[in-house]
Amino acid sequence: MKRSWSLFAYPVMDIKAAEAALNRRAAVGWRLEKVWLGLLASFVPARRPVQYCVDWCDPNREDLNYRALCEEAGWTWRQQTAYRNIYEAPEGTAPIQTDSGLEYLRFRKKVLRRMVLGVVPLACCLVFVLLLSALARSQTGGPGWWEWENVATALCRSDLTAILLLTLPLPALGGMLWLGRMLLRLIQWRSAAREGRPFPTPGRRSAALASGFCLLGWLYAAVLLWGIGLDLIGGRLNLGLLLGFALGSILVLLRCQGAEYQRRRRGAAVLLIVSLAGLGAGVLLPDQLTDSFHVKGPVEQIQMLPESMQTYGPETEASLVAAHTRWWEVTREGEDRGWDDGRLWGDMWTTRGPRLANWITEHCRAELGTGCQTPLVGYEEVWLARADLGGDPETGPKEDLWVIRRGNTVLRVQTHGLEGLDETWLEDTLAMLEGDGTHG
Amino acid sequence: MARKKLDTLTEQMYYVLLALRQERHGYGVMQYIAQLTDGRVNVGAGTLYALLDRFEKDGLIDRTRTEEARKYYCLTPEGEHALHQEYERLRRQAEDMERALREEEGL
Repeated sequence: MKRSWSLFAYPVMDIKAAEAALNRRAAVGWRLEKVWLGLLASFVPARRPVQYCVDWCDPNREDLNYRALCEEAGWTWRQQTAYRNIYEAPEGTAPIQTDSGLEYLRFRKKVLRRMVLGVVPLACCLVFVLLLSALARSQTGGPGWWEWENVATALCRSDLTAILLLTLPLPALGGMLWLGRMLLRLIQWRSAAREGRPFPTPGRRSAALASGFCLLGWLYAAVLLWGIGLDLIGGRLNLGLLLGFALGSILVLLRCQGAEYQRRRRGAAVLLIVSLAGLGAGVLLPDQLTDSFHVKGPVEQIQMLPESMQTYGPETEASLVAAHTRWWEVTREGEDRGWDDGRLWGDMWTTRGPRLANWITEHCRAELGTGCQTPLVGYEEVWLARADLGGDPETGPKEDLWVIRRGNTVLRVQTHGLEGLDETWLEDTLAMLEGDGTHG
Repeated sequence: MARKKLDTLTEQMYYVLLALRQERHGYGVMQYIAQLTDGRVNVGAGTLYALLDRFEKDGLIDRTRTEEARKYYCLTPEGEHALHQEYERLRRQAEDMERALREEEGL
């Protein structure tokens, strides 16, 4: 059968543009076949002239009596997309909405209220988490989640977080554009409702632009879904969250039995399958499945102190954009002397590109203090801050902080109560970072 | 636009109340109005649904029965009163217009 396709990614507030687009097609003999994923519309030749109406609806609870009355009046329900129902009728049928004031009220009741009810609890949760984080920081004096080291850790810990953090301006920009367009429509509709005029139809260029932005939003959502998929396979999504989603979905499936809740049940079923798949994937699928997408650290085994009695780690977390390896070592003397004596703490970040490596290097160098910003004589991109902890200045215990950058890898090594790390150690370390792959 | 207080009815509100002086279901109301006004006034299905809901909440109409998924409504005494008030208002407006026209002709 002859079929025609067009982009149909109109944002929710461009309801009149969507309706006008369908009616333009209908005027030249096309009939809507289906809207795919809220993105594309397919059309087939119409056997008789038709017209379309796009009307507001509450996706969580369909009003079947409303639909039945529209059906009696000649409007056949075709499909639901987000907060909109698409109806079709023979050409010349009286429109569904003949009072812009009541249409505006329907929008407020069915759409705006639902949106606010969806956003407010999320915003409250976010504020609660931020407050808890600030409280914890004020009590313990530890670093806040926004401080660079925690951000760097988050970048390596989860693919979804990495994508979100690196593209943070994009959803913010998209959200502002969306909100601005919604406010504009609210003002226009309110004025039309007061004056008894029909809602205005946005211009074709403006609607096409908004549609294009929506398409970009969908592409972005696909990238986020990819991140979620990688986290699911790697078993890195919060188990409590997945369990909560699964239980919540079961509750919805059990409680919402009426025909008006069909869409809600479908959503809950999808969420349940995804949650269970996530729980199962974390346990059943090997983490190696995601390895080919992740950044690899330069070393798998590491021991920097030849006299190490114990090495803890290395523990490596890797994502699409960076890998972080951390470990610590303690000497035999250190083990006897006390908590933070005779120890070495190491962190190594490897990033996919130089920008992130630059950012980590800058923050590591800031920890060295203003007096130690010059690279070590004879070496490029090697910095050291050393402090004597008493005793003989040559052989007495010292506190070292090394920062070494090679390519996209940044190494930070801190020691306490050891003799200063010497040139041999540095040569071995540089060899490791430059490709040897072993140390010690 | 729907008023907060139904002190003045819109044209569509007026005709919906007028149609419900006899028991009718939603689509019956639409048909009656189109017939009565020779198609001059069309009340859309969505608009009618919202009006019926509102009138029922305001006590102007009552749901009398449900048959084959069709809900039937009828005017309450309060609804009859509101309709008559509006009729009186419109009648006075028409009378005022006529008087003004007569005065112009007499000049």
